[in-house]
Amino acid sequence: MEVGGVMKKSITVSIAAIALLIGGAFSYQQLNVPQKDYRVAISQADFIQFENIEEVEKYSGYIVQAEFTGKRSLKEWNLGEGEVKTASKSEVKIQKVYKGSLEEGDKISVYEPAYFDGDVFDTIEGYNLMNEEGTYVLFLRDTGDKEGYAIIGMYQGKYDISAGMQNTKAKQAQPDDTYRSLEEREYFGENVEQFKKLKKEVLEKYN
Amino acid sequence: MNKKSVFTLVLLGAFTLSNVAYAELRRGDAFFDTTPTANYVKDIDTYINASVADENLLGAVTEAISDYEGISGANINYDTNASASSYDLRVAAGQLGLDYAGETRVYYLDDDDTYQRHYGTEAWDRVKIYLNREYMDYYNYSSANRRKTTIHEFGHGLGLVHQTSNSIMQQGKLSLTDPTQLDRDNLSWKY
Ligand SMILES: [Zn+2]
Repeated sequence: MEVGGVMKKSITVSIAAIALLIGGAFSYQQLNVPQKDYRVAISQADFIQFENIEEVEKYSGYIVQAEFTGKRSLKEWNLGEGEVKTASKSEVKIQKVYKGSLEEGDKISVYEPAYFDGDVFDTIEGYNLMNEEGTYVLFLRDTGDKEGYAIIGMYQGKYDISAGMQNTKAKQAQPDDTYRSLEEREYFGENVEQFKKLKKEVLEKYN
Repeated sequence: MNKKSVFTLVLLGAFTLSNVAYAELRRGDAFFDTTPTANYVKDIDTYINASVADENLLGAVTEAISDYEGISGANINYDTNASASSYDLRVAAGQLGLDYAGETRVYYLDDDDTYQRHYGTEAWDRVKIYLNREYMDYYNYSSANRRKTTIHEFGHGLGLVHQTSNSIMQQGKLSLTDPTQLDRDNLSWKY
C-alpha cells in the first residue's frame, strides 16, 4: 500500500496547509481589519420623566429579570403613505418574574427604541441596546400588536444589574461621538443624573 | 490678589455654574448647535399624513402651526400643500409600542441628493415628527397634554432645545398649550 500511504500523507499535508491558511486569514482579519463603526443619530422625544422607581413600577404590567438571547430583528410600524417607524425587536429569556403573568424560562420579544441602519446607529434620546453580557431588570407593558412588549419610559425601564453603580457607564453623547465610543455606555442621553438615580433604586431593590 | 478675593471668585464661579443648570435658556443657547435657516422657516413645505387625523391629532397639529405662525416677531410659515414625496416637514401618527408621546427626527441632504439622518454638525434639510397615540392613551394624556407634546415637537422642528422651566420645550406630561413668552422671544430673536 505504498501509493496509498503517499496519498494519505499528501492529503494530511494539504489539510494542514489549508488549516494554516485559514488560521492565517483569520488572524490577519483580526489584526488588520478595523471593527465597523457607526455614525450616531439621536432623536428628540417627549415622554414622562419619572421621579423614582415606584412611578416606573406603577405603569409596568410586567417586571422581570432577563438576559438578551442575541436574537434581534427590525420592527416596523406602518404610519401610512410610505411612512414607517422602525425599532429593534429583541428576544430576551426570563430569569425571574417580579410582576405580571410571565414565567421563568419564557422567551419574549421587547421593542427597543434604537436600531442599526446601514452605517447609522439610530437612537431615541440616547437609548442603548441590550447586549449578551448584561443581566437586565426590565419594566414592560403590553403593546397593541401583542407580539412584543414596550419598555416603560425607554431608558427608564431597562437596567443592566450585572455591573454595580460604580461600574455603570452613563454620560451624554457629544456631536463627534461615534457608536464605538458610546457602545459601553448603558445610556447616553440628556438625563444622565435622573437615569443614575433610578438605577441606584433598582440595584437596591432588585439585586 | 489676596486670599479672600480668590475665595470669593471661586464661590461666584460655583454659584454661576449651578445657576446655569436651571436658567432659562435664551437666544443662541435655546437652539441646537445646528438649526434650520431663516430661509427654511419662512416657508416650510409641510405634509400631514392622513394618520394624524385617524389618531385624532389633527386639531393639535393645526394649533401648533397657528401658534408658531402667530409669533409676530418671527417670520415662520407652514405651507401645508406639500406632497408625500417632496416636503420639508412631515407629520405622522400611529400606535407605536415604544414609550414616548412624540418624536422629532432630523435629516440632511447628502451629495447624492439622498436624505440621511442628521448627526454631529450637519445642516438640517428635513424634519419628521411622529406622534404616538398608544403612549398618549396608556398614560391617560388629556387633550391639553396631547397638544403640548405636538407643539413641543414642532418647537424641536424649529431648532429649539429642551428647557427646564417656563417653556413649551420642557419635557413631560404637561398642560401648557402655547409657546411661552420665553419661547416667543427666542424664536423672534432667531427668525
Ligand atoms: Zn423634546
